[in-house]
Amino acid sequence: MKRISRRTLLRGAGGVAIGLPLLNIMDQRPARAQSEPAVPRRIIFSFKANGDQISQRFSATGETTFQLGEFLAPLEPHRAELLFLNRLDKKFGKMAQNEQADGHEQGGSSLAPWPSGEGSYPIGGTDRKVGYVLGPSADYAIGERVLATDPTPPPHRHLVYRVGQKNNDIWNLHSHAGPVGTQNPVPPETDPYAAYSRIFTFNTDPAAQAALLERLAKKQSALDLVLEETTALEAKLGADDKQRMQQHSEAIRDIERTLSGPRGGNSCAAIDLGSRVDPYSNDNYKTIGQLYFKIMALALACDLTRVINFNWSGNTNNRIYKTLGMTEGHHDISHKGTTDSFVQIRAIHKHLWEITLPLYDALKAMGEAGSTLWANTLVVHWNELGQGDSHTIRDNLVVFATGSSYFRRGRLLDFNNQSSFSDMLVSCFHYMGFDDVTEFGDARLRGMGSLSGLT
Amino acid sequence: MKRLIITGALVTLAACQGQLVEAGGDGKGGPGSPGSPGGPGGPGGPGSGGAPGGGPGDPGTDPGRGTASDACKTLNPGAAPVRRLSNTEYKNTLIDLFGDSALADQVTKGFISETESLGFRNSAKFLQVTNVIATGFMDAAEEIAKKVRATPSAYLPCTPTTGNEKACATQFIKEFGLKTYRRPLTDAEVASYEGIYDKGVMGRSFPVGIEWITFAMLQSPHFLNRVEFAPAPADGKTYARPASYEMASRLSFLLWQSMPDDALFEAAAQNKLSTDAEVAAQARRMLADPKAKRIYQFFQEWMDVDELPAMDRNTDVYPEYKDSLPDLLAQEAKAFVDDVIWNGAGDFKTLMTAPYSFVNAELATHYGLSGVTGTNFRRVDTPGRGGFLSLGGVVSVHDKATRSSIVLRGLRIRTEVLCQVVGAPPADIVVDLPEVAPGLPQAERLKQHRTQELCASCHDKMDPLGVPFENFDAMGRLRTEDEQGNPVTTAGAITFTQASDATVANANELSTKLAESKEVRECFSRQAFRFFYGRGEAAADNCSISQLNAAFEKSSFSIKELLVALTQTDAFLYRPTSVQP
Repeated sequence: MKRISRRTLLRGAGGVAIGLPLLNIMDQRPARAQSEPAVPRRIIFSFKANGDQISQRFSATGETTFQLGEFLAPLEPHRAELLFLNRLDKKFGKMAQNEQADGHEQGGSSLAPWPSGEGSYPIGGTDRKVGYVLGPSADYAIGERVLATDPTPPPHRHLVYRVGQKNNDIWNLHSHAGPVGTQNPVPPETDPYAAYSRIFTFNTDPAAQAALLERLAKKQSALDLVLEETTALEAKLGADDKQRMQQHSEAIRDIERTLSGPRGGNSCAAIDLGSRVDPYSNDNYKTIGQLYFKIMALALACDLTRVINFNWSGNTNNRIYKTLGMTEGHHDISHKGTTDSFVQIRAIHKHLWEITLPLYDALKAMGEAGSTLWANTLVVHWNELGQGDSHTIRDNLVVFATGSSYFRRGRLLDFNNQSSFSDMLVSCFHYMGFDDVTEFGDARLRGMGSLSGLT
Repeated sequence: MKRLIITGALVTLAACQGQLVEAGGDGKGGPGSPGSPGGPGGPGGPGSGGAPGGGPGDPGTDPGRGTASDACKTLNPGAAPVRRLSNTEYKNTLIDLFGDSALADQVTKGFISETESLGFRNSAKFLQVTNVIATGFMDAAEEIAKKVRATPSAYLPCTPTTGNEKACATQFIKEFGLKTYRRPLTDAEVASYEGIYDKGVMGRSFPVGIEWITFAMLQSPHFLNRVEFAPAPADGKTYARPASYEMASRLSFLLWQSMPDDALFEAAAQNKLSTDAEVAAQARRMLADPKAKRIYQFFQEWMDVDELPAMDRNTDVYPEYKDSLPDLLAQEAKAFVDDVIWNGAGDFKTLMTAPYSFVNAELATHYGLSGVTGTNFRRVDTPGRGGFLSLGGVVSVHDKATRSSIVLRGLRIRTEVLCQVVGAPPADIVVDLPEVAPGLPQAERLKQHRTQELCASCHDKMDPLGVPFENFDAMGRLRTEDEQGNPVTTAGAITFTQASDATVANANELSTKLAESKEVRECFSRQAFRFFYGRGEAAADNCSISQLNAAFEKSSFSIKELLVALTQTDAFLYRPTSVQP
């Protein structure tokens, strides 16, 4: 589909019926013309914290005859759509001590498999203050590739969401913009109501058309000047300042892209988020998560993005799961290493899987191209650690969930810590159509190359 | 910040590696030495780099500088990054520009929280503008600009009449632009905004044009950032004084966390911010302004008082817990700090040990204090507790829902008050801790775990600093028994320091000894450097750090004098001129 230029959008204020950016006219638009590329693939990274209990993941481990353990049991109905990638090694130990933070900090950023920088935290290093990781995360990098290569790229490179916690620090920032060698964490959106209104505007009132056009023109006029100024400043600044100003320029270009409004097919329509609840209350994490699932599914259906980084929490998260009868925080429990604490850990993870499954439902509810969004989306479930009490960064479990037949699903693959987490990320690039990617991240964190046996 | 990778009493925390190192420097230039940055001999005598320059002229050859310690022999301002406004600075600037606190609150409340570094959220390195953040600024600008459109006469320096509206718009651009850019606009910039005005009024009205100007200005990188340029001077020096308007912004954002006022703009216009003395005089003027109380932001972030909103307590253990408590504790902390600095003795020891605080009726009831009525906070004596570290919100902010946390309390003292680093447990540790007798007090349980070398290497650095606070529960109240009914013990110790090691009987004694410790005082000034300059210190800042330490000491550790001293360092008075492409 030919992109409608910004200038075209501004012309014809008297009656351009197409492409008015803030009106929902998409219901009348066909999803994609026959001559257009196939339905694009999407990817969602979904994070849970504190590791689980490695020995209890599976009660039997055959490739197709595996039996899910207690806390993975909620996934049984979806078995045929899942691919379990067990015992992946994050390999941080291959880096020098002064290049890595502790398991939680480094592990929580393992979508960005790079060494840690310096200078921000007096906790977690050896004789230095650790910093954020020095390179982009897979969600950012994949999003960049989509923008660069897709003939009709979505407006948003990626969306980054977290449930709970307003403040941002090394224990809860999991998305990174890079470039390689630069500490550049991407703060997530933590208020789903604000996140929704930022990327969606549905307005079918024709009387509002003139006001909407004026608003668009005002924005474009301002953004033009801002971009001129940031570009001019870039030329005058030193390396570090230049990089931040370039990021500002990029942000303006990102916003300009979004002014073209929602795209996509018949599933792209307003949703009701219900009455507002406090996104930061410990009591509301489940509700907030479910809201994000709806928003994520809609964003993908409207082709506002192809990549989402979703987090149930930060790493080391100490949420108290009161509905499970607990009085201590998740992180505290995860470190105890006792029989009783593992009972709780299994209960927490079972609960988290249960409340994550509605994401699959949300994706399945979005029809597209004769199927559903689920058929074109890969959900990558991951954790910062293998297990919390030992802080192990080996034996990581990643679960691929998708309606796509790209992967041979319904299987359990044991990589015996020979393959790495970053190898898994390469497989994600491949799923998204970037087969040219053979490695991602620091060379020392790689294992055998992209994971074999997935497809 | 400061959530712990290591959890509390009963657990792992294994092999902290090595060494205890003074966390001076960001590692790039090499950490500061275990001694003061001024070197074993201190920053030197009168006229040394520890004192302000003697007058105008090149300080590189100033006789006063010639007797400086090695650290200060050569002027080095360190890094001077472009600094995006923090969320707080942005909000304060809106308040000062438009005089509407409620609107400033409203448009900023949804802002994405900044990325934390060194315990603060105003680190220039991490104040980036992503698309989400840029959208936040755009939405805020839109709301503010609507207000200007609704009542333009409140913001215009002129009255538009038929035929002269464009001229009035241009005057608005220049005068409002001076305030938003914090410097006079160039002719090209004025022309750009005139172009925006022309587009805005086309087919619409004058107020719309003004709205469009305002909307654009509030998104300009020159508004959102503190931009400084210092071309290399003709004499080839690698440093120079910031330009007048740049110095005005340096002063205002340091002391008011906001834009300059008219007096500063006037001083900048008259080039009256070009000597150390002129800068110091402005600093003292500004400290007398109520806006100077905004420096409380430093204290709030230093000891995580800003994290109190996340407080949550188990009401089975703490049946008196109310949702209003976190805000009350936060108000208490602010009232205390404000009083110490602006009404009281104002010195570091008073901050750390003052035997009073501020409560209203509800908080007084919480603490078991009588004789306080109403909602206003008033000063009360606090027998059994004293100083900032013992305020209810400060001591308990990182506690658990069901108990106090000796480890987390001690960790924060180690890292934020002593400026030291605590290492990480290695991956794949073998968890094989001995069983401890059930029902033991937390301090005893930790003591038993410290018999394991694997645990002791880290916990020896944290637990002895946290135990003295065990007479405070997880809601900040004094107590004699812990959650299990065990009598609390408060004997602890300051350890692993250069010259401040001591045993202490309780939190009061700990606070007193910390207040009197050279290392702690120097850590405090180092923390001030980090917050007020918006960056970590590097080896290039050794002189500036020594200047701060010397001035702080000379003033008998007056916090206000430390604030003035922050305007008198090489790092503040100068900036590097070489640009690394």
